[in-house]
Amino acid sequence: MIKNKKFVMVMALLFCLFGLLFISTYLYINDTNKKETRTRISVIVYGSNSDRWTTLKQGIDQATEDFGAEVNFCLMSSETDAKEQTLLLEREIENGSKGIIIAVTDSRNMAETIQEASLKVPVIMVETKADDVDNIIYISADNYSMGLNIGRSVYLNSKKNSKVAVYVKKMQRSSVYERYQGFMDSFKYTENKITGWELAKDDDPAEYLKRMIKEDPVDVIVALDDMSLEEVIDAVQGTATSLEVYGIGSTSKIVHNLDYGVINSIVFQNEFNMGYLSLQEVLSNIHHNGGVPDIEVEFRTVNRETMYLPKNQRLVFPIVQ
Amino acid sequence: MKAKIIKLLQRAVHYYRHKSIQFTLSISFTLVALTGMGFMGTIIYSRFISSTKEIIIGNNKQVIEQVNLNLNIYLRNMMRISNAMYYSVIKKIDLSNESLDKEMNLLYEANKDNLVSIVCFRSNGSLVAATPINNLKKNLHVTKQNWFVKANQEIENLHFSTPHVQNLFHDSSFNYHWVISLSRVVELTYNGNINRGILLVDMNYSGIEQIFAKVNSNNSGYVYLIDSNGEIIYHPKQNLINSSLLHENNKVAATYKDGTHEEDFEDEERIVTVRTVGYTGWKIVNVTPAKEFYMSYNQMKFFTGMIIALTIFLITFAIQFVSYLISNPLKKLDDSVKDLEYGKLDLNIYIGGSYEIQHLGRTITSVVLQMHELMKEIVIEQEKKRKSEFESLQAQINPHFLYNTLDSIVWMVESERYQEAISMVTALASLFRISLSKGKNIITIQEEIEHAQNYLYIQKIRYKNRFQVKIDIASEIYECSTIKLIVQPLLENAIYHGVEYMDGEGEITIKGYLKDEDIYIDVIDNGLGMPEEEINLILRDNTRVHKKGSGIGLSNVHQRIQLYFGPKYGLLIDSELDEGTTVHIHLPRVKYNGNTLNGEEDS
Repeated sequence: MIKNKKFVMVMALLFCLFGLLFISTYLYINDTNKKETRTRISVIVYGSNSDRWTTLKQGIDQATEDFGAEVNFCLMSSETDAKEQTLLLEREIENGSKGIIIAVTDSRNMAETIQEASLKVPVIMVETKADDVDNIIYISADNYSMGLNIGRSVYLNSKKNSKVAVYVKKMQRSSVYERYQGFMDSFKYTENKITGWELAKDDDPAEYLKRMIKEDPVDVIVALDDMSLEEVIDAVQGTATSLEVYGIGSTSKIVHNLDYGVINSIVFQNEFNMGYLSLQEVLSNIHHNGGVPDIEVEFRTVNRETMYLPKNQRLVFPIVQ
Repeated sequence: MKAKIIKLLQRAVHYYRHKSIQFTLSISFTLVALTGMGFMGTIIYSRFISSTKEIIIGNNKQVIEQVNLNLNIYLRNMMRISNAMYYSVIKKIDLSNESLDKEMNLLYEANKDNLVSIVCFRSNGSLVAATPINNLKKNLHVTKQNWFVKANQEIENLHFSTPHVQNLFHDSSFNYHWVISLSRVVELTYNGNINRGILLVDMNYSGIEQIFAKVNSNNSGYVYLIDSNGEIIYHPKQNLINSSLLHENNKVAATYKDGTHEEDFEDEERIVTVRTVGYTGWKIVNVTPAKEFYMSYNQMKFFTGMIIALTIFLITFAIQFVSYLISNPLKKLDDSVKDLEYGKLDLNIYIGGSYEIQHLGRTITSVVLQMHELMKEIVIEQEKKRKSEFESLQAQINPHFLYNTLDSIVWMVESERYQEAISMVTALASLFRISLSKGKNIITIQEEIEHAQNYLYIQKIRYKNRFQVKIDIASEIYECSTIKLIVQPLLENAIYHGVEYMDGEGEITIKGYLKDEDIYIDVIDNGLGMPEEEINLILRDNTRVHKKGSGIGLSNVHQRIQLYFGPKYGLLIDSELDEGTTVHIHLPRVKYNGNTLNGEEDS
């Protein structure tokens, strides 16, 4: 009888264990099916103009949909304040951000902050990098080559020995600096005269450009980033000069002005890819910390004729899905 | 290998045979249940897999049909607008004195949800009319645009373009529209003359997006749209494809016929269902990655596994219970019968369990009872036999002895020694009296000694006092019990073997005493003694009876004592050659109580 009782008890216990196993496995399977890991990621970009980052944001949004994350997109209130971006970065990490995607506003002054942040959470740099940092992935097009290409475009499309002004601004950003290097190198062996129009800190860009156009007549103005190019557009529009404008960038305003002939040619990078890959990388770095090499995205050179070619129009006018 | 397997099987069978019935039952049933469940599980699982595939393919077809329907509405709407514009307006108007604007605007207003613009060009690319805006961009080469070229190439057809950015009108806001263009050649009338023109209807691309976004919102696979050359018109991840971050098998899909196909693209198995859209030659492609099946397969695997495991568990439980029910009565019966092996007869045989086991129990009980009875009968019979044998032994008074004694008496009477003859006859009479003892087996030691004295008296006369007799019996043993006729055979032995040949120097001593609460009666002679082999033989060999003696051998005495009192008692012989022999009779101390021993009735 005692043996019998024991047997029944053992079987009942086994039955309970079996039930528990069944329920827990069932819940686990359902859980893994339904639960999405919503990792909080912060995207910190320079500047205060959200239009500038539309395409990058589209890429990030697509990646968010594909991989699942909660993305906080942060703009600055000023254009180039390293201190503000540092504070923004620190605040995001404090608020529980598990990964940072950053377009560095000041390559030299942000280096230490970025390096420190990378010890806490994975950091991916896009478009502009910080100088001398280790083990941080940088996703960008080859800025030097972009500079080289816009230089070639100027050389090929403008009249012979034209006088070219480079509107230089925000050289503290590595991207702009490298483009400048590439651009200058493209004119190394030409007869063209290159002048640098460097905006002083307190100058108003519009005023400055208008003044320079008047005081230092040139055939071509080249701008090396989106905001500078938009400023050049504003300055050139309405003037009766036959100035040719070239530049790097692809905001809707730039594209529109390329279409309307204000700009002759642009070089632009695939910022959709940049955004998509940056989120993909930051998420994979949260899970496995590995020294992945820098990622290069493509860039293209288009003018008014080539911008509507099927292969280009898909990148120049991204379909908003 | 074969031998190994056979050996293994044999070992298993051997192991199996030596296990309890419950173990054997539960293991056999469990194995059968496991095999059955495994078989059933496999069938259910494979059936599920094929039906899941069928269901998914069926669903895909349904989805594609729905998309096709919506897409047809979209395309028909475009064609309807184009037809209405051409047949109801352009064909009826002479453009030299009338304008298309009013009708065009009305048509646009009626369909503006999905419509971007309706435009009519002359064959040289100049604008005839356009709505809602009509200021063309400067330096625009309309005639080089794809939709214009295609319409001019095949003038009888309607041409649907792939999605492109509309590049026609000046728009000061930075808006650019992704459109699908429907272009056709139209006949424009100027002063009754017919000129060629191109009518363009640009539909908003987002209309197509909406159709597909709805069906792509659920997670199982996706649907995309290609033109007849495999160029992607819509894809849920179009931007990724444009950016080369993702690839699609669209060029191959364009070659597929309508129906379901299995393909392997970028190391991924997929099921592709294709449906061609009427008139345009576009193809709707539904892609379901095989891993979507596998996911549901895994779930099914889990559930099948769990259900099988649960069933096995329940079956095992039931088997254990049933085998317990079957084997427990058998085990109880076995346990109760086990005592039988150890000779325990007073058994309580278990009767319970199923009818057969109850029957078995009853049968064993009756067998045991019968056995019990038989054994009792055997014991009684044996006892009777022993007693009769014993009695016949006691009755063995050797005729030689009687003849010799009677001869001595005759001889005494002849020589007129009447007194001696009387004593001799009296002694013989007393000898027989005690010998008979009214049929009793048990007498007092006193009576036994008296019997011995009578015998010695007769023998002394016969042997003419060739030996001396000493009797020394402790008085406390006189009234103790003994079986009769145990001392006399020893005396006979002492006389014949010991003192017969000793001329007047023979001496026989009878000593009775208590030692360790047991009675010892020693018969000591100073005769020739016996060698050791003789001693060993004498207690075992029943045939060694002296011809002239009473006929009762030492072994008979020894056996009788042991029969009555147990193996602990009996005779013990000490003998040395030329020194003499001592025979010890070892008896328990039992007070004489009539003719009974240990209160047991002597029948």
